Amino acid sequence: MNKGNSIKNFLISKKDYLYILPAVILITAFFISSIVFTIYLSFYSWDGFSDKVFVGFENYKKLFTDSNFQISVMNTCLWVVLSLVISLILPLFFAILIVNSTRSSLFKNIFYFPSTLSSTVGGLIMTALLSMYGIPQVFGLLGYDSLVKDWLSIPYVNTIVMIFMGTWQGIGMNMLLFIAGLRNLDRSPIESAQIDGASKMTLFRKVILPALKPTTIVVVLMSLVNNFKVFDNIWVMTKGGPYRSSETLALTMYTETFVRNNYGGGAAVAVILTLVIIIVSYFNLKNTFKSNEG
Amino acid sequence: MKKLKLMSFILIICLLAGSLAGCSKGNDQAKDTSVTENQSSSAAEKDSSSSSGKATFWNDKLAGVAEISKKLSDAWSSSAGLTVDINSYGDTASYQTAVSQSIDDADAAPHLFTWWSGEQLETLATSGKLMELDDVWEKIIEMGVSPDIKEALSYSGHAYAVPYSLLNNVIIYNKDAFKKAGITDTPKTFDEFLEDCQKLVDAGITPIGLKNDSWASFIWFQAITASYDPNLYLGICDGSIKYTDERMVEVLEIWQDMFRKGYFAEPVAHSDNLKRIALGECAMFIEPQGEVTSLQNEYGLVSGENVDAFALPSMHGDKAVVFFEVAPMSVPAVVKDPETSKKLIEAYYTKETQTVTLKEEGIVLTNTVDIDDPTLAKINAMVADTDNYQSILRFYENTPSALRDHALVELAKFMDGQQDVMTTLENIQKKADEVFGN
Repeated sequence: MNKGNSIKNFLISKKDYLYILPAVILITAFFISSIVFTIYLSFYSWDGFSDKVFVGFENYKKLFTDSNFQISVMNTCLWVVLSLVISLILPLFFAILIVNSTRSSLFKNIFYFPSTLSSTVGGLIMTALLSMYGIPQVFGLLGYDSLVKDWLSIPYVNTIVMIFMGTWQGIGMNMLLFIAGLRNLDRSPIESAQIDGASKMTLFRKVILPALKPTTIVVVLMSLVNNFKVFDNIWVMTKGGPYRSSETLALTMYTETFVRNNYGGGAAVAVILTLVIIIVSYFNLKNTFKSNEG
Repeated sequence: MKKLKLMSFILIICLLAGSLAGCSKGNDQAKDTSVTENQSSSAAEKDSSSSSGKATFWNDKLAGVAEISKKLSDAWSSSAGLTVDINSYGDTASYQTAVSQSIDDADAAPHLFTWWSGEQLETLATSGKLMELDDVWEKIIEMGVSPDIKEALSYSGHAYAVPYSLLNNVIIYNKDAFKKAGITDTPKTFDEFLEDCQKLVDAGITPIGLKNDSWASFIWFQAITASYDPNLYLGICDGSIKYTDERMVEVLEIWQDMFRKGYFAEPVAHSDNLKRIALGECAMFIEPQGEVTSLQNEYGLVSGENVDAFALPSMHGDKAVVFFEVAPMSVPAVVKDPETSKKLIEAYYTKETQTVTLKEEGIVLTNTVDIDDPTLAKINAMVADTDNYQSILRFYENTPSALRDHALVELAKFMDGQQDVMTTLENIQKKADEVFGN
């Protein structure tokens, strides 16, 4: 009887784990096992069909001496930095305007609409618009014949164009987060500052912005992670071309694995990308918890 | 409270059951229906319970063209006396994954599947995953398939694939654009070709359209190299001639000169390139014969009247080269009923099936089908005219993939004016030394 009771008590005390068990199983089966297999694969040479051959750190060595990988890293950094700056400033700007507008719902919907499109669809729309017979033709009609070309075929210009396109789609979500953050601000410090005669700029810099810090950190973290692994719109728009000049790490990972059938090389890129994201996220989160405790 | 707990428990069980069911292995469940399209002839839909008399064909060629796939399935089924189930994958990575997961499983493997020639086919063949098809080749040669293709699909003396399509890459041109520039006949020598390009430029027409696909930078490289000397082209492909050979320097200088004179348009998306050829903004491009059909179907050009084709003439009196690319079809070594696979292959080359592939895709592999389209007939005649033309496997499949991928990037940079002739050739040769072990 005592044994039966102890088992029953044990099960009751552990019942909460049952609720998270399906998610744990799914994540372990599809996520953690994939990560472990990818790390394992990064030490092998494999084309997907033949036997795997152990090569140690050879895949990593080849990557760091490959000029295309270096371009890939540079493009990824460009994506992250530019997107971060734009996706912080613009959504905050729009959020402030919308919160103070009389038609906030209308403008919210307008600016959020691009976020409802998938990156693939957005990429296809932009590809059509920026193709030779799209917007460039308009410039041709205005007399700028040198602009009548496929803008996505111009190296490095295409990366900037794609960053703006990605930001166009990403603004909506960040804007909503900032709107929520602004609406949930404690009004007392703001009113006190206004009574003390603080200018609008001083009010924004010294009161509102610090109060928005938790929201800003969430936006920064999400943008960082999303931009490090950006793939969809680049694949649709340029496939990393011309001559691999617009490739990012996620694209390199994909093309090494599925286009060049170099599963080991692709896995090595995946491991490096994951480590970078973990390090960046760790410092960001550590900083957050440190300042919250302070 | 008890009801709530019971509901939660039931939901957990359903979620677990759903997850386990989703993980279970099965041929039908493994395919994501949003990625694949499945076409069967109407007879198959009535007789789905019978596994004998049914054959599966996997491919990455017919996704997004359900109508063509259905017509092919009907004709093929009728020829084979089988129900041909065509499964088309729209995404290359998904297709490769599906094949790699099924090729060793007798229950999951298709009867026939398309693949890529060159190293990718060699990988499957040499790892014992494909059935030898030497006996099938004897039959299909009798049916009219060219025996010259067999070598490109053979390794260690055995054939491991048959052709799904044979695409011949020639210069397809807009006749109206040529007429506007005062060109009444196709060039017979390379010098005439350059003169015609200049006439087109003088008439305000860009002679040659280019597409911006990242893999396409070899197209004019191979054409000009083979025009200089077909043996030079074959030599760089097999590593017996260096890319830095003085003849290659001359080839690239000729190509560079053509860029300087404005003979090439800026690369654009393939669909836009097709459009500007159709509109006469560009006069010609090198593409497989299927684009003749596209120009007619999409832009209403008339074969022989507005659109025609020719091969780039030789610079030194050699035979003009027509580059071919062959998409192979193979049979997994573990297939349950190899006789069905062989029957399926033979039925593909019957007049009935080939008539559909010609009409819908501009592809024909046998000489038994009447080709009404004058341009397609002309291209076929070129290939058959071995006195004046030579068919060679294109660069993409004729070069080791590691070298090819590197060369494509270097050639694209050269085309874009990012680097000069010697830098381009030296960079490619460095990789060639690594690959060929020089």
